[in-house]
Amino acid sequence: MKQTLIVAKYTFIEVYRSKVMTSIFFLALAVLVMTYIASEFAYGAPAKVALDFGLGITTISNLAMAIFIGSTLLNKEIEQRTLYMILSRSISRSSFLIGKILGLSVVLLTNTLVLNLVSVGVYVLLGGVISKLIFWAAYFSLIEAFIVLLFAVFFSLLTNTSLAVIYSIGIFTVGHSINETSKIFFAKSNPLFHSILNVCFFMLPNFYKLNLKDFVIYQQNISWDYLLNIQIYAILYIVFMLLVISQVFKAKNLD
Amino acid sequence: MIEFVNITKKFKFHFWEKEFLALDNVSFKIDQGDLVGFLGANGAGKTTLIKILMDFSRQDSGEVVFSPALGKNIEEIKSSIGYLPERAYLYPYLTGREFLNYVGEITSIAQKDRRELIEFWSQKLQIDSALDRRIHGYSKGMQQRLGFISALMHKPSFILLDEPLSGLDPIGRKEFKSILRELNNQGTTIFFSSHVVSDVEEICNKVVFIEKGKLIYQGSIDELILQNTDDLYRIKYFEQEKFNIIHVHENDKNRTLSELLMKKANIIEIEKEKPTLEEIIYKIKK
Ligand SMILES: Nc1ncnc2c1ncn2[C@@H]1O[C@H](COP(=O)(O)OP(=O)(O)OP(=O)(O)O)[C@@H](O)[C@H]1O
Ligand SMILES: [Mg+2]
Repeated sequence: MKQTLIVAKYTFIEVYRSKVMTSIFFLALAVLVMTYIASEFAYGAPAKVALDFGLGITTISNLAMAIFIGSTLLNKEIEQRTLYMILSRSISRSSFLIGKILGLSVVLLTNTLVLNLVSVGVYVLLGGVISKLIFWAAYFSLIEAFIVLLFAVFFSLLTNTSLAVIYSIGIFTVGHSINETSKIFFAKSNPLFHSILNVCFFMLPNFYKLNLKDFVIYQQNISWDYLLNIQIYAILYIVFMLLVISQVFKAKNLD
Repeated sequence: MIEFVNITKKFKFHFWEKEFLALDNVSFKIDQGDLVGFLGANGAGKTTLIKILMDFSRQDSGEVVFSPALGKNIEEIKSSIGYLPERAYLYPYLTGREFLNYVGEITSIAQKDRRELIEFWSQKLQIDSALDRRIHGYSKGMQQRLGFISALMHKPSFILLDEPLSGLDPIGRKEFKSILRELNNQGTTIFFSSHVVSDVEEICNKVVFIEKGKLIYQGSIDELILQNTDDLYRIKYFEQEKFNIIHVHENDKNRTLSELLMKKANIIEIEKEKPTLEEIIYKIKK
């Protein structure tokens, strides 16, 4: 456990020193400018538009980061053999892997905090009222990015980096559309398709449920049960993914 | 201390290609207290074998047996191994000090000891002035030195180095060799691969030699040299205003010498001919 944290710490430093953190800064700046411009064009509810924009950009940048860092970081270590230096120590492969993922999640967390702070700041400046839902939305978008990160790492262990990126984007897209697909009449009426869809439903992450932005923007209420259920779902999903990834990594030939 | 038992490793690039035998039934043993040189041409399979020992690469058959002295489970065993890969693969964005702290923390060296050890080794290997710079800007030899420190820092009882002397200047090579010898005298078992036979001959007591994935020789260097020494003597003498050198067999030595003395030749030197390890390796290969 301690070793996992050590790996996480130095992973974070390493990523932090590479260009990622600078890009977060510029992204934050861009969010600031763009939300301002967008709100200028919005009639009636500039604050809401600003928030919509800000949360949207946070989500997208988190996902982009999760996908790119997730599919490159471990692969880069494997290709450049930097992991030899660490794995030759008394640390298990799973501790190392989880430490890596943890370090990356701290990067995602930083990104979320900075960008959300900026967009909520603009929102408040434009007269918006802070609600708890904003935090829930930010938190869930972080969870979403984390699950995508796990998929990116998973794919990067199985294939090369570019395919891992493509597959992760695929998972993300499917994860978002699966909820809609299940509502299509054809899907409901065709029993075979229906059961395939059910299996997919079970296997794939249901990102749609993690997207609370509409709730926030339109100030609908959201029940505690819903929040709790989704968190349980997410945690189970994450644990499952971590187990799978650890096993894949353990079995991997690092020659 | 460590025994390789019938290690075989094949590589296959694509499923339709014929597989390539990188290690063919290799067995040998490294005993406690040995300083073993691991020789073989490029592509002989040295790095592959070392990676199998470290469990990075998995063999197709055979096993690596660790003696209980190294530890009970794989984690314990790894903590008593100091490993330096073929090229020191380091994190470019960390500073040298951060990197050493990283590996030191993972090996659970207390902070105070860590600071002292880093201080001691970086001075000894002359990279103390570069320690707070990012590894990114280190020269090859500096990276090698940093990697070397990381392999020694936790005082492992077994040191495993893949071409530790490559990329170093002559003084660096000498320093590394004397450190290895020093550590070995203190009881550390060392196994390192190299291309330079004379380096191995200089500091090692044993040698393992592989060729195209097959083990050719393993054992003591002195014995190998003795086995390959023909009983020849080299006699150098001065006669008729010039130096002469003749090679004679053990049986003829005394007779030749007395003949020379009768002729009033001035004997300058008489020496038993001993091939270098390099010559023997070269001979074995042919
Ligand atoms: N990951 C790999 N995939 C395919 N073939 C490999 C791989 N690693 C090594 N080989 C092959 O195995 C053989 C042995 O390689 P290895 O790196 O062990 O040689 P070496 O003795 O360390 O050589 P050198 O002295 O050049 O470092 C080579 O022919 C190499 O091409
Ligand atoms: Mg090699």
